Amino acid sequence: MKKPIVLGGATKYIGESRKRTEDPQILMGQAKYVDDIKIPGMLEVAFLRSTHGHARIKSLNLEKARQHPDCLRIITNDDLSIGFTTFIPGTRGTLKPVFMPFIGTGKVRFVGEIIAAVVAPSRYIAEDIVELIEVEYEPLPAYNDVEEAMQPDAVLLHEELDSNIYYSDSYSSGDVDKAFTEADLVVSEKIATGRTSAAPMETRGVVAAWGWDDTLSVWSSTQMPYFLRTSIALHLGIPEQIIRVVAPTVGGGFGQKAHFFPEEFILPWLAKEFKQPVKWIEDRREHLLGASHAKQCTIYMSLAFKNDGALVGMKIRNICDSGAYSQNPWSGLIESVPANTGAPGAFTVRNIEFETVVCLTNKMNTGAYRGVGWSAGCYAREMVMTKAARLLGLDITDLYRKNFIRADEFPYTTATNQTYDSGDYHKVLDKCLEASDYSQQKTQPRLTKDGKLRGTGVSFFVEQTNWGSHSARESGFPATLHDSTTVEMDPSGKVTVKSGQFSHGQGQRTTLAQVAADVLGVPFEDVKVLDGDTATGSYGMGTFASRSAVIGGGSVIRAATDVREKLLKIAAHVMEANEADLTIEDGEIFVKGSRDISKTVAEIAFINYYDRYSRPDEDEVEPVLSSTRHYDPPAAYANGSHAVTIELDPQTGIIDIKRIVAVEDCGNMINPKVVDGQMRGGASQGIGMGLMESLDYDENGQLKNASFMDFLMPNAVTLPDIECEHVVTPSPITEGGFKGAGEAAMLSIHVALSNALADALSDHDGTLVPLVTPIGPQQVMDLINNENQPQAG
Amino acid sequence: MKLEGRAELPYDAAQVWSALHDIDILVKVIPGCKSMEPDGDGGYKVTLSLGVAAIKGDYEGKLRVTDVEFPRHYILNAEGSGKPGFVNMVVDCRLEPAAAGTLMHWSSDANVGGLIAGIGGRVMTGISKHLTKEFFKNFIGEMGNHFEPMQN
Repeated sequence: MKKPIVLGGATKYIGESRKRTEDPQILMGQAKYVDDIKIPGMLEVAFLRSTHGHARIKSLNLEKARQHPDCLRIITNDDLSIGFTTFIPGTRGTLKPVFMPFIGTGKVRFVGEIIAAVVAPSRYIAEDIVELIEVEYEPLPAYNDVEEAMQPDAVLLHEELDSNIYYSDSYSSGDVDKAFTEADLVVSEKIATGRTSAAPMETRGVVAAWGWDDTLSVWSSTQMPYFLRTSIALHLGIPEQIIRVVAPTVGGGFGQKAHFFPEEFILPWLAKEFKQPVKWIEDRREHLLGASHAKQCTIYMSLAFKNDGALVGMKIRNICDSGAYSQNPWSGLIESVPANTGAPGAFTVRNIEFETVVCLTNKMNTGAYRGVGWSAGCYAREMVMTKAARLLGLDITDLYRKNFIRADEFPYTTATNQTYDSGDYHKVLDKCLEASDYSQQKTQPRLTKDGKLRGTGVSFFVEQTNWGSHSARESGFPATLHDSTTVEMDPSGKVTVKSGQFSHGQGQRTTLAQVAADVLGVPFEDVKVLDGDTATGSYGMGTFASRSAVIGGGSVIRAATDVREKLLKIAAHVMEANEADLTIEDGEIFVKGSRDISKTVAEIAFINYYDRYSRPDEDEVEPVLSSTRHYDPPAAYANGSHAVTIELDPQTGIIDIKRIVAVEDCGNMINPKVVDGQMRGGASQGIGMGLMESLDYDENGQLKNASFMDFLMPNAVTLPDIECEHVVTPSPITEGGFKGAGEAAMLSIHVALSNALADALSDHDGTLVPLVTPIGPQQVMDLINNENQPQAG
Repeated sequence: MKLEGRAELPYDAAQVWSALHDIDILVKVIPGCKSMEPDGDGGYKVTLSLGVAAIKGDYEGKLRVTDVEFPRHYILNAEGSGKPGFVNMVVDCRLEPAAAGTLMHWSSDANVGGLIAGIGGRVMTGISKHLTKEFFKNFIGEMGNHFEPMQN
């Protein structure tokens, strides 16, 4: 492994809380989204989607629909006959490939599955034509619960598989049986986490157009423009270099748009086949039915403790509800695999065994969403630890301190073979407890004057960040992930950063510019970041999985360092100075310690491009002021803590959040304001996941709350202030010392909330600990009345 | 979705029974019913046009009566689909003589799918109760055109 580059000179921009350059356009309504793309002659597409959770299609009659005067095309599986097979070679355990047709045929496996696509002059007409298509279904038993779907006599969703389970794996490390036999306390629980949707403000959408020059242009609300380009080329069977994918402004993705969806193939197929531009914008009902779901796991968790609080053993069985197919590209492994490999969390426990299962049910596919796997895995571990703390007569913070990996133990390899690079967990926890007055809060009476129950909870998490190939492998998930960036200086001395990452709310057009400006010594305003367009970027996997600051930032450091070195070589020749004596600050190149002899960056750049006789010979330095560099860093592990104070209304079960303190250690911060934004955004979504959101399917596979009237989410009005604090432990193994920060709160805030709930109820019953998410008013009342609790087998 | 209820009708059971099996009456009293025709297979083809909230739209469906025990009991099997989704319903009807005429007990079990389930689930019970109330209001009114109500 190469040593990371140590940044020279003052870091003027890295670490500065700059306002984001992208915001004014977004806030003033100037930004263009997929729906704003207008092409003359553009047609619109509407989909016929299954109304049954699991059914054979007995007949599909298009006759009436085709007779509609404005019906231009209707396509079914007969026209495409292809789909994707999701399989990740080299995965530990037994993984079976699962095929998903782009358009369903023969039978449908979830409500919302595409059966036909209609092309018409407008969406209104297309929807009218969809209504004229006649489908006769023969319903089959639908599965809502993985534990029913995995029974040996269950009806198969995919007949080519011999079971509804398509992945299973087991792992053991240390002497688990001995640890459990010699333990003073074993706590075993079943935990059920709810099914949710990232539900970004902008739904999915695709526009595709075939050009006069035989090129294909695709605009999609995606987080992965390059991956989408490659996927379209592979499935459409056309050369990749004739495809341009543009992700214009994207109104939120959160992992949900880091997939390859059938609609992203069907629209390009239509454009290519019929040589006319086509458009589809997902409506909210389609979105809740047909954009990937997340986070639903059934987890059996047994933890073994000594009386002093030492966690000595873990036994876990984690079953992920994958939905009807294995979502491309991550598959249903996305939840239970990282959950189990990350199970030790911040703790030194050496004896661990786990079983990982991924099972099909009749729901939309499970995919990536902020905090993949860990949201459920951390919740299960922490709720069992909370109960254990009660039974041992200790506070959860005593358990944390007893079991934490100490600051002097890094790098630390866990019992599941993840190597944590750095951290100071005690310091982070102490900071969070101090900032939230935790010990003072704990001495307050639970019952308030107005009859509410006050509770304070805390949580601590370790987050594997910067998903590249190394992080993925350490998660048990050997995907190939890397990124590249091109940094280019033009004759005016201005800098363009062409990124393979894509900012859809993360502020990289600001943060990557901060990094480039710092490395090159030019003013921030002289750097422009281009992203989201395969015609102007540099091949990369995109922005997701807490990876962009580290991987994007790291590749910018590498490429910008190359450009800086070239610039200094040219300057040394021009200025007749020793290259090693020169430095660059504020766009000026000068001999260190003496600004009298200086040239501007713009002067040197211009000489490079336009003054053959002043610059060095091209055999010595090529007149190209650009560099493209790749980065696939080792995994860096961030950590943090949340403390929450709530007031519970014991009559209604409603939880009122009074205070949230969040502390994060994501290594060196490029822009603390941006990190705060990630912390607040993550906490907001985590509150939704923890207290409100649940995609509610009935026993026939019908989604009962496919609209925002019934699918409850937090909003700006109902959210409390989120107080952010930082601890900085630079990563010793990544360029710039960065660690990722994007997902953190989704591992933690729901844990702190549930801990606070347990604390609020502790006078009533000291061992009441919630075991489900979301924990809404009904679940709170069930907990108090000991009804409908998950039963550990 | 399960619903049940009862209605007191000032007619004797045979009259109620015959009205409940009279296509002309049913077309008039079923809310939104446009047509009802024998399908030649012992059942009926029905078209409905409903204008209530989340279930607004046109439906085509089939009706079939089973488990007939004149004049006390029958089961109505209904299935229909339209733009807002589909409904499969089983209605168990029981008629029993009462002082004021006939007491009709009914219980239904319905599966709904598509838009109705996804958007309308929350209000389905309310809508069903509303439509049931409409049905009986219309039914009692229409029976008065065919039979003399019992006087107590």
